[in-house]
Amino acid sequence: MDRSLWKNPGIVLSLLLMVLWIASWIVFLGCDPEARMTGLPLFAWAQIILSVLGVLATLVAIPMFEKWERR
Amino acid sequence: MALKTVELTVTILYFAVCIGIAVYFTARAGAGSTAYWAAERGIGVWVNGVGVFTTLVSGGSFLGFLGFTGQFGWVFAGVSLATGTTLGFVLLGLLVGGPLRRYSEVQGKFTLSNFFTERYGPAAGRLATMLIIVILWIYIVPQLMAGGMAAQYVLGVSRTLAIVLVGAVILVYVLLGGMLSVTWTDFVQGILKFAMMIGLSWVAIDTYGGLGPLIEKATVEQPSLMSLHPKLSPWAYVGLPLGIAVFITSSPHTIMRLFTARSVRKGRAALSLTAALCLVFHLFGYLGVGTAALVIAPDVLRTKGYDKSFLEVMDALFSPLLRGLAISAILAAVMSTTAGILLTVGAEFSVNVYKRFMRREATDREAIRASQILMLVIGISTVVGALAVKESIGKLIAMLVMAMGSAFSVPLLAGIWWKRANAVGGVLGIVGGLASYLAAHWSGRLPAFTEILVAFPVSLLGVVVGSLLSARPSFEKAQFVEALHTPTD
Repeated sequence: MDRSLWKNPGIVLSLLLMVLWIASWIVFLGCDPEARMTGLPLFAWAQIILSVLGVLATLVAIPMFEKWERR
Repeated sequence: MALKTVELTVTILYFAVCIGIAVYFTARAGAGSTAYWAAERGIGVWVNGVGVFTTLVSGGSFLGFLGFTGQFGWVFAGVSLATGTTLGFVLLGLLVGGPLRRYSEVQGKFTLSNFFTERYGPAAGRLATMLIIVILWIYIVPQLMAGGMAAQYVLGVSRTLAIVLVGAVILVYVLLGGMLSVTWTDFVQGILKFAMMIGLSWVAIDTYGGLGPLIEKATVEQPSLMSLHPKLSPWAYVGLPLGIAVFITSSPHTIMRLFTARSVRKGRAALSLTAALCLVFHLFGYLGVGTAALVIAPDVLRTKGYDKSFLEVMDALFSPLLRGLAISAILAAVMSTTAGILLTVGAEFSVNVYKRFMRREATDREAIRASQILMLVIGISTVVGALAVKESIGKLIAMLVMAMGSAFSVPLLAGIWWKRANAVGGVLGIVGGLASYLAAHWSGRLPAFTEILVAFPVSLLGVVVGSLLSARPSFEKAQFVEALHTPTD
């Protein structure tokens, strides 16, 4: 039975999102806060895109959870 | 301010429907504690998803946080709120929702502190109960302030009378029906709230000939509308969304809604729906409404406060009928959040205080009755509090949600996912997180909205160091964690 928490889809996807979130702060807020695209800071675009990715991640994760939990 | 007849009629009709739903579910709610506190664990994806959404979207979302758009710009208000709430529900769905829904079903428990008691022992459980009751008690105050502002607009009565009326109506329907009626009422309320915010935003953008012209006009009043505000630290753009996300992953009144889901799978799907609703609501809603407020009533916002943004835009752009529905939406926001909080506090008191310390042999019905008396006391005292407080609604709510998240998020996540986490770590995580948040906030040394950036790591350190420096948890605790991730069917 392989139930390593590091392979749990919730942990994997959450860590991925958190890494991307922190990276977006460093790159767009720390390094170049003035960078813009179509009138909006790239920092804001990054947050919006990350939120959409997050919602998609929850949908993708539902069947993956059941597979992991039944191992 | 005069009485607005059409708006008032629509609002009264709306509340009649809400009370009707509460009365309809009264008989079923009285059947036992699972029915009263967890809606018989029979709620499907759509009703639960909208119900969770409506628990989060409070009076502060309409009157407090929306006002940040005019005060600090849409990048701070709309984007931060959208990101914080959406990622909060995403993390709740990925890390917390399934295991806690399963815990509730297997153990027959309904509250967050029940979980802390079984995972970390009675000291952590009691601490959690006490903090949840105190923080949520205070959290009702800004909700009633927002409700009072809306009722004052429609009734043309004094602020005092408006707050008292709103408090009375909320108490009646929570005391009557419990979670079952609240969940079904919230489904109606959630749809209304979403429709009114998005509808008003749409009308505002359309009225000014599109988004470009509207933003151009509003930028004259608020030059930082679409950029970082010079008076805010860049850390605030990290702290606010992170604080909200952290709060959502551990907010007791949201978590209690997870227990109402028909199954673990449906609970997770409901949270996906909630996350999507939050994203659209804050991003698009704040863009149109918050921006239009700067064009329509800049002087009112500057002199009477940015909390009035929604009311001013609605007053200018909606017909009386739609204004009645919009006021109902604000009152619905106040009502649903306050009702959810009252139920959470009531459940905490009933299960963890009354039945444990005051009357061990009490029946479910007696315990529910005792908690209803407490809810009545809380309702009355928070009305008094709302009359006294003059702080901005948005700032007050931001402070409370971040305090709550600082205390509970790390211990909760560690309790679910880290078998090595133990009682010492759990207590240190709760105390360290909350104490460091309060110290950072009251010292005034950190920029606004950034306290969570200190409190979160301190709580993490408390859990990790406390757990590693003390004895391993028992084998039973490890099995308890394992069971959270194991299907029961």
